[in-house]
Amino acid sequence: MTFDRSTGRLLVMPAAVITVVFFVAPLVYFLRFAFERPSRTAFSEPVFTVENFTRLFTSPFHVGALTRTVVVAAAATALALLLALPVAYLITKASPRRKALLIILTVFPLLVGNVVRSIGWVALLGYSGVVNTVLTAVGILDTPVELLRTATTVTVAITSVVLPLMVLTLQASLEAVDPNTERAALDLGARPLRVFRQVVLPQIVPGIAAGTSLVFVLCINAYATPRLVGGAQVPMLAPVVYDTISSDNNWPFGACMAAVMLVVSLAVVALYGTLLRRQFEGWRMAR
Amino acid sequence: MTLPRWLTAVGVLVFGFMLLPVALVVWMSVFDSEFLMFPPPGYSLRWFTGLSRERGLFGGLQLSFVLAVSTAVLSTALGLLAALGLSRARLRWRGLLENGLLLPLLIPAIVSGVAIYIYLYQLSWALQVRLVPTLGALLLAHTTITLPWTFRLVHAGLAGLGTDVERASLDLGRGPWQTLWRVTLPLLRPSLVGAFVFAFIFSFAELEISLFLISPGQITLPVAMVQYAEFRVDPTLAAVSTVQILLVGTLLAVSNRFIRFGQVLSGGVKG
Amino acid sequence: MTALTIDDVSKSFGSTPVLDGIRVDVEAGELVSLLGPSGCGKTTTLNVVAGFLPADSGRVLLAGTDVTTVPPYRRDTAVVFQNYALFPHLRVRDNVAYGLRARKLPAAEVAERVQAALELMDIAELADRYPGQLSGGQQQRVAVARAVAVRPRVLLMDEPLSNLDAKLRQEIRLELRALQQRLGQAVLFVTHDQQEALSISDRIAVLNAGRVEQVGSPAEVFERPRTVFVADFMGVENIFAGEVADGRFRTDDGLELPAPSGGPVGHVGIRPTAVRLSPPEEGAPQDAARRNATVTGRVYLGDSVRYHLQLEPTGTAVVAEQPRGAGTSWQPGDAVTVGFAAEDLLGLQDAPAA
Repeated sequence: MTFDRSTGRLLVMPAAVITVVFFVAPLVYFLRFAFERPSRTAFSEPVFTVENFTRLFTSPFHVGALTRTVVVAAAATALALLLALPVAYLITKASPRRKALLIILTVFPLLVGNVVRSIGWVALLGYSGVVNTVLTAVGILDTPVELLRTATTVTVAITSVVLPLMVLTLQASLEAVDPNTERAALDLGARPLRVFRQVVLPQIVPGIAAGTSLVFVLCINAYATPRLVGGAQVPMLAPVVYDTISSDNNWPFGACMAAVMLVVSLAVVALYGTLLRRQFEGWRMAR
Repeated sequence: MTLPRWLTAVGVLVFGFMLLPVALVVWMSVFDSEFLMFPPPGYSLRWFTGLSRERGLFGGLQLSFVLAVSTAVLSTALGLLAALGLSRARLRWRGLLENGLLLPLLIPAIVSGVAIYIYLYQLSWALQVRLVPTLGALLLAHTTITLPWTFRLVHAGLAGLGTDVERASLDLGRGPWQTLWRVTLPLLRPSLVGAFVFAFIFSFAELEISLFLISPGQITLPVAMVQYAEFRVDPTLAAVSTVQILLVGTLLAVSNRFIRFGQVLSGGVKG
Repeated sequence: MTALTIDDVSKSFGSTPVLDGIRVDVEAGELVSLLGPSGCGKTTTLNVVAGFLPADSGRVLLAGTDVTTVPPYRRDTAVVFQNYALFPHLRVRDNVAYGLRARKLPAAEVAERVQAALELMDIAELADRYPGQLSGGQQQRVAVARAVAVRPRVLLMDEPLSNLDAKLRQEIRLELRALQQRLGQAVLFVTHDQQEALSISDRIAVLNAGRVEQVGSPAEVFERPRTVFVADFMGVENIFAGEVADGRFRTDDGLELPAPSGGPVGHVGIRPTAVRLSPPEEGAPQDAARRNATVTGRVYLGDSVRYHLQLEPTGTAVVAEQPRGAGTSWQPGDAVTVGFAAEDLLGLQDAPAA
């Protein structure tokens, strides 16, 4: 069945209009504020300036938050990749029934949302949380210690939060690997770990790139986990942006930080895309 | 091929790492104590029955439910129309439209939240109508960010159907609209259910965009939970979290046969 | 010297038995086919030999050494997969070198043997391509080159020709056979195509439901099938159940035929091409049995014509095939005489003697 062009246009119109008016337009519009001066009496003083960016990159607090955010995101992404690889491989090799179950177990925490899981991490690591209780009970600790409010715990918690997406992306990529190529390598004399490194890993590089860039962007923009697990002691970008706009009412500076986050995120995605295309032009045709 | 045992062990540990926080929250929700203490002095369901007294959290639960249902209806409807238009009509700029509808997936939610807030605030001034904070603004924002998912799901469903059955129906004498109503839509039901469930869950758990669009009397559940959790984490918070967990779990279980969640979610951002 | 011995191997998946006491030998320099329909266990057998699947019982020996519990990477076998399973991220050269490098051979020897294998398969000019840039036939050559480069004790081929179009398949079949004979390579060749097995093999093992029904040279298996299954698989379409009594074979629906030579049998078979048709009440002098019959159907096949017939008075259905232009052309409804020569009657058993 085909609709004629005018009907087709009519059908697409509502979705397109909503996306343009309430998503694309705001994105373009808000960038303006990043280049205007904060004002006490209005949203901004409408003059073109790069003061916000100068301030952002000279303020130790903000530079610290930016660096911390990037480092935590990179560490969490690397950790997630390391943990997701074996799990994704296990899921790929599981029998159909077990595979369905394992995928549900992966999707479930993802859909439950990062707020609930961050709350779980607070309960786990807080002063009266599970870890402290257990450690004091068995005598390893005399008194509970502060486990929350450190960049390390924020990294661990964020890793746990983004892990399901990494697993699902890698698993989808692993499913496309012909198991006979693994058999062929084994049969030609390569040991299992060597087969994984030389035959499986190279074939899922696109999936790894997709997973890591996706997860990195999510980490950079994480709000709930740094807020709840890190708090004010571990300032990271997303909460700082929120506070700047909500509490300080400094729209231009908030917009400036949001713009920086946007650029970092898009740059990572674009960079990965380009690298991939160059590296795997040759054999990607095989798919 | 048999897998080495250590691999299975690693798998169990990693699943624990992913699921432990969720399990812990469910466990905490039945503690018979005001505060968190391990092990709990006893178990009780009183935090669930007492939820309605927690004005912030309970209000959030109600608002988020209404918002998620409305978002799911609107987003699925728009996604269906757009998918029909793009897969069954020869439109110019088709690639641009398809990718454009997926754009919100690429933009970090916190950035979108800031942008939409600033934009609507300015628009309110220009139009002399209050746009933020309103329920309408929340609904529109949630709709735009769930639209990529509903569109993608229905679009994939339509592609999977192919046009042969529709041609058969046209050939047997049904007009295009009759064919749509009697053939296409019934066959598309799994995708539509999937899209609805997806939009509902995403809207229900959405935090970052809502952050900027809520107001004191109108707070969504995730925002209310974050605000509460900054103050304290206790069995009440765990109880309301458990309600969310159960809701998502039920929807997931019910709709799992309609939709391959794993496939849809993998590589969420089109690389 | 026996390159490969499959000794009484059994295998079940859950409660489903897939292999039931498989015994096959491959001598050095010999090409043995495992022939059977899908689900007969031939690919499972190959997977057990390669070490991808553990056998539940029985042994696998390579050149006399028991390798039943040896992992695949320490077995001296090489598989050519049905889908070739080339490494998509490696150039042809590196695909072929893979097994040699895994065996930690010196670089110079690797290069030399890769070059030799590429030249052997006539694909030297493709060495720097990726598999995705090759045609199906070229990929097939790379797969063979990769496997023979390691000079395995036994080469395992899993339907290696089934993804090629018919013409190419025939060409490559001949080429593979010539190559195998030149190298003196022992090969276990899995196929479901009886033509392919007949044309390429030194010996054929016909598998059915996880059991070896018959092993023999192509001529033996084709001309003297011993069981109902093998006969049916080899194109013996007319098979009658019955018993031998008083030197005659009496079918269950009352047809009397000369008793076939050999021991007691439960079935008699005859190929459609061995069924002779002649005008009513006539018949060839060498016919050991004659029956009146009615033509019920006629199918034109180009080189030959097939007739579906009903024998009188029993109504037994028989298929006959005559070369085009030979004898009379019959039409449905015609009455004819059907004749069988005694030497064309094949005595068949229900199942192989245990």
